[in-house]
This record gives sequence, C-alpha cells and structure tokens, in this order.
Amino acid sequence: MPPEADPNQLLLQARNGDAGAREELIRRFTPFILAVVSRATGHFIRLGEDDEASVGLMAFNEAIDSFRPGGGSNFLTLAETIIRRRLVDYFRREGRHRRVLSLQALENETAATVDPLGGEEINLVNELADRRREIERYREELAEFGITFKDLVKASPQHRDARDRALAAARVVAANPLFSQYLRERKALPLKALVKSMETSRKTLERHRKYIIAAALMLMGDYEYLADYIGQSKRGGQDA
Amino acid sequence: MLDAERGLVVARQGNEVIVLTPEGEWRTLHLTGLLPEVGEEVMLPLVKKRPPWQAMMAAAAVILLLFLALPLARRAMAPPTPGQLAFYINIDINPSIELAVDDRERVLSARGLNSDGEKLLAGVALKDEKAAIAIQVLTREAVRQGYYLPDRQGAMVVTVIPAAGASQEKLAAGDELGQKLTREARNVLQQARVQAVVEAATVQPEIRQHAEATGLSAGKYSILLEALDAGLPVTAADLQKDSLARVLARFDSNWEQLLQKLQQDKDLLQKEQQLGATLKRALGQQVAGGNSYDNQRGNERGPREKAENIAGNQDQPGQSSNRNELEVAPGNKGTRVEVFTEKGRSGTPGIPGESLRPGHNNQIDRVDSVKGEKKNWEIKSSRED
Repeated sequence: MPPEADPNQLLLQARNGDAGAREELIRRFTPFILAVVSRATGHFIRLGEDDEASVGLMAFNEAIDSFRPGGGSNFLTLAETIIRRRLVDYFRREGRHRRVLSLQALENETAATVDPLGGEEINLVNELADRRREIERYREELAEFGITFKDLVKASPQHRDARDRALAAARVVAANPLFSQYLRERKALPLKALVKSMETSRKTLERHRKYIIAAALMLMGDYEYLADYIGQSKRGGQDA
Repeated sequence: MLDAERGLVVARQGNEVIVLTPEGEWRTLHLTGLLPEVGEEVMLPLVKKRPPWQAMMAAAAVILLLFLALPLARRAMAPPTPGQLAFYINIDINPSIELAVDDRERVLSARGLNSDGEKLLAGVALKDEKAAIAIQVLTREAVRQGYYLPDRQGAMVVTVIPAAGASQEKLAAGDELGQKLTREARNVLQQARVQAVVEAATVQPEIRQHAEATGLSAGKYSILLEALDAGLPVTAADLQKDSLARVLARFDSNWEQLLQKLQQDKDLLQKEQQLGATLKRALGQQVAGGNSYDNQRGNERGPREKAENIAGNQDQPGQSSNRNELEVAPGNKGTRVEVFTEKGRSGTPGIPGESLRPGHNNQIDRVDSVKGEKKNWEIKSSRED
C-alpha cells in the first residue's frame, strides 16, 4: 500500500475487502485510537503495554465495517463511538471499571444497564458539546486579537520544520509568565525578548506572528481539549 | 507520518470547513459529502505535493495571467459586494427556511420560518454562498439532524418567489432557479440514500405575503391551496405542526402528485380567490354570513389581508401595552372590527374594549398564528353603516 494513499480511499478499499488497505488505515490512525482511548479511560495509554490499546484497535477495525458512506455520520465520530462502547464492554468484563472509568461514566451506569450502549454515547455527545463550547471561546479570544480562523489558514506555516519552530515559540511565550502577560496586555508578541530566548530571527517570528499568538493563546488559556489535540501528533508518533 | 491524517473541525462556511490538525496546521477543506459538525474530527484528503519546478512554473503562469488580465483579476479578488434582492426561496422539509438571494443568486440572508428551521440554520453559515451551495448545505444538515431517514417517506418543496413583481420573465427565471436547486437537493439526498420527493414551484410575491400572515411558509401555503383544490381537508394548523410529507400522506396516498401539480400551477392567486370560504375555514377563520369575506371583497384580492399582532400579551388581553398592536390592511371603510380572546373577553390587544378604527378592514375573523407565534385572537367583525 503506497504510504501516500488518501485515507478516505483507504477506507473504501478496506470496506471492499482489501486487507492491505485496512492494515494501513489502522496503522495511520493509531494515534487517533490511542487519543480516544486515553480520553475515555482518563489515563495515558501506550501501544503494546496497555490492553485498552488493543481494544481500541479492534473497535476501530469494527468501525471500518460498520461505516456506511453517505449515511449521515462521519467515520471518525463513528469510530470514536464504537471504541468507547467496546471499552465499556471490556471494563465490565474485567470487573475493574470502577477504578478506571470516568465519574461521568459511572453516573451513567444506571442508564447503561438498561441500554448497554447508551451511557458512552451520552458521554460522547456531552464531550462534543464541550468541545464546541471550547472552540467558540477560543474563537472569541482570537477575535480580541484581531485573528480569525481564516487568517490562521493563511498564516499556517506550510513546512513541518517551520511549523514546529513557530509552535516552539508559542510554547516559550506560554511558559514564561512575563511573556504571557506582555501578550495579553499589549496584544502583541514580545519579539525582542523572544528573539533572544529562541535564537531565531525577528523576521521569522514576524512572518508567523498570527500563528504564534494563536498557538500561545491556546496553550495559555483554559483550552484543555485543543491544547491536548496539538500535542497528540508527537505522542502518537512515539507510541505508534 | 508524512502528512496530517485527521483534523478537528473548528468552523464551517458553506461547503467548506476549517480544521486544525494534531500537527498544528490550519487547513480549509472543501467537502462534497455531509458536513461534519464543529468539534468533530475528520479524515483529511491527501495533499498532493508537486515537484518544486512544477510549483515555480505554476507561479510564473499565475503572474503572467495576472499581468494580462489585471482588471479582471482585481475584480475577482475584491470581496463580493451584495447585489440587489432578487428572489426569496422557501425551503420546506419541516424545517422551513427562507433564503433571500440577489440577482447573482448569492445568499443575502437566511431565516428559519419555524423552530425546526431555526435549529437547522443554527449550525450553518450561508451568507454570500451561492444558492446552489446553500441548498446542498441545508439538505445535508437536514439529513444529519434526522429530518430525512432512509426507508421513510420524505419531501422537500423549494418555492421561489420574485422579490418584486411577477412578470413572465421573473417567474420564468424563478422556475429556472427552482429547477437548479431541486437538482442539487436531489443529488445530496441520493448520496445519502434517502428517497424523497423534491419539487420546485414559483409563486407570486402576494402569495408569500398571504402565507406570512397565516404563519406558514410560502411553500406550505401553496401546498395548502393545492390540497384544498384537490378536495383534501387539510388545515393550516396541520401544516404548521408537521412536515409536508406526513400531513399530505395522512390525507392522500398520491400526495407526490400534488407536489408535481404545484409546480405546474402558474397562478395561485387565482386559485386562492376560487377557494374563498374553503380556504378561510382551512385557515381557521370564521366564515361570516352577511359580512362574509367573499361578499365584502368580491374576487378582487386574495383571501387574506396582512394581519400582524406584534408581541401581544395573550394571557392578559385587557391590559394596555404600547408593544401590542393589531395591524389590518386597508379594506372596507365603515367596518368595525372587534377582537376577542379565546376566553371571550373583548378588546384589541393593547386597546382594551375598543374596536379597531373604521377605515381598517375586517377581513380576518380569526388569527391563530401571527409571525409564527400562537396568539389565538378571535376577531369578530360587524358593519358600521
């Protein structure tokens, strides 16, 4: 399977019985599976070390077969739903769900007894609503800095190296209280200080100014899901 | 990993979504399938990387083209300026939605005509989109929100109304636009494997005004006219509560033909006049004897005059309030109109115990819904000769 194959294409091929495409799809989406499992269980999951990771992989495999293209649902949302369901099944079987399931999952346990699939779906719906609220808050904070999501598409560094450098600059700003304060109060990057501490050219920082501000705000603010999301790539890469 | 495989949807506009990838990249995606919601993750299509020489060639070609067609390029790059309002488009599924589009078929505004319509619009941004894109987005959203289900009967009526005037030219342009929009909607429904009857109709601007006064969309009002003409005992209240498909299926097994008939009917105003008292009953109005609508008005106008009861206080009808007013379009002079609440207490909203001024007409016997809110004002009319 060529490594550059389109994931949507891989999904269709996998559904049509192409084992290679299925394997490749699961391999590529292992970081996603681990992120979903980690969120659902509340602790960091490693491939090859935690059983939950295998449950997630098998559930993702099941989602490939269950997915109906054009059926109104998005594949990754369906996959997330199935992974959560299978984790609940797994914890019940293992009899140790009380230790690892989130408080919300425990609260939904009564409902889930009546409808074994209901509880985790409710959790996912709630989580999606939380995510939407978090994204909305983030959009509003960006607007205070005169930045829109469209601006970020234009300002997003194309090359991986340049993006990593810009993200590193954002992390420096977020981690340094003086820099953070400067950004919040003056609505601008502390370029001089940042040039010194990063040993990067002022021009580079200026070029990616909007992108760095947006990333720094994400890391500085109460954006748990978003801040975690842009860290998943590295984590997933190591795990996978 | 070569490229981002997935992205988190942070914004939606028309057929596009903006995503953030775990690698920290912000991207715009043009999607043809169902649009994911904000907060969902989607798989990203592959970005094909071209060799550097190809990119340079492309850049050179673009620069050359820009020089050759600088005036055109300037115009193309300028933000779209809103044109003049040309058509209203009512889309009825239940949800009911109204789009206002300009002469270039760009959406100027969108509003929900019922609560389902508002809910459907809540998650989509349609302003400045082409009407064809807007209907794709709305249809997808309707499928997503479960208004169409596989193996269930479904319907959509796209009603195009020229914003001003009903010349043959404008009605023909409306027909063309309606056909284009139904094609788009059918494609989306086909992709989603939903079987639904999708029909378009073009109606006169007056029909939209009359529909608005009854609390119905122009599409549902037009269907009401066709249904009554076909002898079906459908009422406005039925159509306010439920979807077209469900209401019509209750009364007629061949309801799909009714929608097709609507498309062929070019003069609904005439039909409105012919239906007279039947229509009044379907709208929940009293058909008065000596002061009946038909006797008073002849066949000059449609059955409804515009009635607007703005923010009336239903529970305390006797109380005066500046916000309450009943506006009835000019009609028969010397006619008194008295307004009663459901409980039988008299008084126009905001004017306790008083009748409307002579000079305003009395063509409405009962208003069940005004601007989509149930008011249940009963209006009794009498002559003042």
